Amino acid sequence: MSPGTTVEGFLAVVEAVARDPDHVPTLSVPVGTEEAPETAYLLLSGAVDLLAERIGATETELRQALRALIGAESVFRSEIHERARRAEELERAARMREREIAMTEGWLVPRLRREIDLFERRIAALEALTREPA
Amino acid sequence: MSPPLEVPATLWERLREAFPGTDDAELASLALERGRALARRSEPVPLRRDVAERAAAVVLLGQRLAHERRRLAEAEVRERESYERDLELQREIVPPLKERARALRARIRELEDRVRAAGRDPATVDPTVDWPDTLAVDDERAPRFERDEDRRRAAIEFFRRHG
Repeated sequence: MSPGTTVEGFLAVVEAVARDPDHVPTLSVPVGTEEAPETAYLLLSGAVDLLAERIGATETELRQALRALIGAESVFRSEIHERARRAEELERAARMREREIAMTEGWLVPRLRREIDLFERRIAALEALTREPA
Repeated sequence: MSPPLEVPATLWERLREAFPGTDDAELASLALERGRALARRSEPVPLRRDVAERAAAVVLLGQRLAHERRRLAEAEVRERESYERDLELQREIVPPLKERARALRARIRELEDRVRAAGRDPATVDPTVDWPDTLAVDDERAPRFERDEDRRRAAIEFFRRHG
């Protein structure tokens, strides 16, 4: 019997999807012309259900799988919320600071440089005048 | 054609093994058909449906979590880079320019006094300066900045207090 047709195989699948998402290898599956936003959800739920049916998972095994999934769902939701909140704070702070930087680089610095250039030219003209005999 | 969907490799490989001789496109079609049937709340049994739907939700949450982790990492880099650029401007670039402008203004006033003392009118000397239209830098003082270490310490103290 191949691993896909054992209950252990099914539980391994559930544990794999409930694992840290940065360590879940994925592969691409063709879905034809399906474009609805819920396609991924329908494909995944259908795939898991087909597999569970095929291997004849018992109620005990399904409950074990369900516990693992409920635990992962709670952890994922909490971390998503925390990271999204922190990212929004940082993005907001960066956006505000970038506006100030753009103002400084695009207006203040060029303006100061133009004034300095004008002042230097006026100083040169005034110095030339002071050197001339009255 | 729609772009292919990313699914956990373990799930799909097990499905291939459970349906030998069925290609990925056919498997996807079967899975979608079953997913739609579940969504319509038809059979199979509720517990298995619950597992299937939760597994789908967990995979999608995991993908969203991976996205939020990348987003946070990018936001941290962006915030740090904007902080460093702002600090550079406000510490290294703007104050020396203002200092230079202030010194030049003082030099112009001094020279204009000398021109007037010599009985000439400095207003006739070009280029002239429209003073009200210039930036007021005479009272400017360079701001004080925290070092990176001070900033880190303040952040640690903040999180310690707010737990």
